[in-house]
Amino acid sequence: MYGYSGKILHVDLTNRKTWTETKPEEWYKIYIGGVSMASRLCWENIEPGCDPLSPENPICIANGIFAGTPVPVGGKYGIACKSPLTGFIGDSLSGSWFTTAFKRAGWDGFVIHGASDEWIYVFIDDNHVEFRDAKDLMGLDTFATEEAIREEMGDDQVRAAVIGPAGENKVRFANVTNDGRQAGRTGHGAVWGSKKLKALAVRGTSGVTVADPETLLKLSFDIVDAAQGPDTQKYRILGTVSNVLNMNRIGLLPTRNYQQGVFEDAELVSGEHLHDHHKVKVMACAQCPIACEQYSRAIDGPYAGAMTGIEYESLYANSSNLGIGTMETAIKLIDIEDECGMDSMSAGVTISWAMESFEKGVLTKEDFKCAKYPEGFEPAFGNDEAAVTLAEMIRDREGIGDILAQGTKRAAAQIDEERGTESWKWAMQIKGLELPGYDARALKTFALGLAAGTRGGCHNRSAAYDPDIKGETNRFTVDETRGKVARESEEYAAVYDTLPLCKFIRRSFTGRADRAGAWPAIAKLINATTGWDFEYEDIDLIGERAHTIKKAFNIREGWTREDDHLPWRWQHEPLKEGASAGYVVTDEELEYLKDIYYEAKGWTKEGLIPKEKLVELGMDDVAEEIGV
Amino acid sequence: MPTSTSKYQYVTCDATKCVGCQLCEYICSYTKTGEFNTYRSRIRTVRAEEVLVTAVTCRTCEDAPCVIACPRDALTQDSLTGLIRIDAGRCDGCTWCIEACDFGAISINPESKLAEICDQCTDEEDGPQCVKWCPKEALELTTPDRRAQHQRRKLAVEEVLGHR
Amino acid sequence: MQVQIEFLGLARLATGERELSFMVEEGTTYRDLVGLLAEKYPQMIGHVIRPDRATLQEPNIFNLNARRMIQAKQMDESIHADDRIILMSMSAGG
Repeated sequence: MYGYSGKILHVDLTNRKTWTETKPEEWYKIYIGGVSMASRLCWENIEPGCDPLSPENPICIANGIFAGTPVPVGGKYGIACKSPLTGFIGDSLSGSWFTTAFKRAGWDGFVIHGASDEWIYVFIDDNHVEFRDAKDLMGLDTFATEEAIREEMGDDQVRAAVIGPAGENKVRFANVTNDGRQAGRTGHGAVWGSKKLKALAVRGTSGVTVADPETLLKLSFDIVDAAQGPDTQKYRILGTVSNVLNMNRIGLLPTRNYQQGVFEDAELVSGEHLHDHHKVKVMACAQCPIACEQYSRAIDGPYAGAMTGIEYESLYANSSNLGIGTMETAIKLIDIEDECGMDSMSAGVTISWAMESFEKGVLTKEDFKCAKYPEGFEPAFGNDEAAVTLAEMIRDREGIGDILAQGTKRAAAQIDEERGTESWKWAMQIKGLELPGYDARALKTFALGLAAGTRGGCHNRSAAYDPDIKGETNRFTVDETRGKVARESEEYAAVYDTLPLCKFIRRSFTGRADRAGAWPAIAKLINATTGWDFEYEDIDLIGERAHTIKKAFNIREGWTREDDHLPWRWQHEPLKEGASAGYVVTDEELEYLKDIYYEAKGWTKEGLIPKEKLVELGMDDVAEEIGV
Repeated sequence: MPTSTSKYQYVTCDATKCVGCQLCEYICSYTKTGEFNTYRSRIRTVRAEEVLVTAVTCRTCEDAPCVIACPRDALTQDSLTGLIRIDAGRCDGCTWCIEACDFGAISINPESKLAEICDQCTDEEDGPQCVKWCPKEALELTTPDRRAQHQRRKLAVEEVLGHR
Repeated sequence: MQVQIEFLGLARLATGERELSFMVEEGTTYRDLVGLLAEKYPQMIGHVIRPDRATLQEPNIFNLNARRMIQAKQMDESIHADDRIILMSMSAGG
């Protein structure tokens, strides 16, 4: 088999044992890699119904089909577990050198079972596995942990996926970090923390071979060349942060916990401003010829010197959404989140919930007592120092940080129960996952995509904001086409998340990002790597299968139609200002959208999956368990 | 510290342009071995800090110290091109050459335990493959003189004309 | 007639301009506007504006009055007096 070693490594942290599982080629043809394979491994290895922070929740990591080769942007891996935030599938992607090292070590995936009784890290040295004491790594931030491991091993080529202090403290939205990139969302870091797993280090010294290297190189070279052209310019020069002003203009920039859609200081926290004043260097992941990571530094003020990669989703959550119009503070917040290893989106949206709760009197100054401010403090929107202190308190689980570290859904539930309040109305989450940087009150196809998403409030899995914002669909209304649009959009995204290939390359195959433009090129790359005979329809299937295995996982964990919901604010409080003012998504609209979406997917009215559909997709065992 | 002469070419990396994609390492190892393996690459990236990354390969030093250090005379230097040639029959993997090289540009094949070094892809029609592939044009086959000229020109344009 | 044009993203970076008033003739279409902008700001050609000087390089797109994106197939529509047109670089995710 080319493109794969055929081997999955199982590691049992409880008993300190390892074993190898081999999978047949047919299995790889269905699940491929990335989020699909990781979710499938999770389906196979989890104890259904378990607590996500228990030993029964496995950590499942799946490599990429193109990892370790020159295929551009193919250096990514998928990771899945049951999410401590949502209780449903928590699938994430990360990239860069960890992926390529693990490919060269000869593994297609890892499944980590159980829990250790002491803090350890696992070192996979080609086909030899060691359980190593992590006591010298405890408390180190993400970058420092990786460097310490490399120092201990004496080898730069040892790469590691690690958790920082947030993961050690089981902050529910803690992430897993490697090489400056993150498997950011759904709380993987907390799961690793619950297993006392500080890091997973890999060294891989074998070569990677492919079925048809000459063809693969020719295809890759052309894509590398095209990736320097105008189709990737926005990523290379500005980065995704250009969306701050875009969203502000159309009136949908999340501001002050999604209370407004226009931020008066948007210019000061815009991508253009970042580019002009703060940019230090643009970096790339392994195998990436685009390079989109805009490393930026805070220049003056109390946070001068803070530096990290800034992206749109991190930026809105830590600036306009907090009423903060100072780029320095936004950079500082994102830097804290990156260093301690927590999801910058969930952190920002949780802090904004706390700020609104304070402004509405649900929380008071005294609730914010901490070592730095023994009398407490007043985290009104726009209070930079309060935001920074809250991020630190969450990381350390100090004072109210302990409650905030549970995420907005649980924090609001706890406070409301204790105090008889209604702060759940402004907990901006779907299924427990905090919302992304697009207010969907006037992006109605996207609202459907978010509500029905398997991961929760996730823009990446749905991607339906694209047709809404671009005007391909009328974002202010709903109609009978939206079910199909939402389905096609999420299955398109799922293809990239499964191979994986970074979506930023999608226009560099032929200049057209749609399926007709991208699928034939992707099929050629797959065939040159593996020797298979994939065609257009097979690529379509990759996306449908990926989405279906995740949906099946959720159904088995107790998902029902009611779980596909929208935040109260988006259903009851229209925006008052800006180009998108005056809209909500009504219950009627939402139920209608769900109906046509389930229909478009070929599911039942309850959103369950017919047996025949699962069998058609090659998932007979899944059909047995949850098919109807 | 010995330096390159003005007549020998070598592949150099501009750290301000390098983004750390490692494509050079994949293409070098493939060209030389048929496999994609950064351990077999004759050019190596190094990421020293979060935003400092660059690539290093043989600098074709004048009176190359690796040649002088080799106790078995397994290394010779071409007087016209400065390229280092390794006689696999004589090399025994003692790694004195690695000690001698100030740039870390010579490596040991982990399987054969013999020294390996950049040969600027003299048997490829389009020259060094890493230079051909680098997406950011950070790699260049150049001489010290040309590098210095380039830096002076860059300085003049930036400082005197104020362009970036 | 007068229209307001705002530059965001790559257009702003290329030209250094944020906002300008533009005088155009009645019946000017969005496609015509691309040509007029190409003439005034030739540095945008190949980056924001395609070499044909009649279409925008993706992902750059016109937005009308913050409500409507002007799609490729709508580029032959006419502009109206006092329209506020934003030239933005749309981005997905991140």
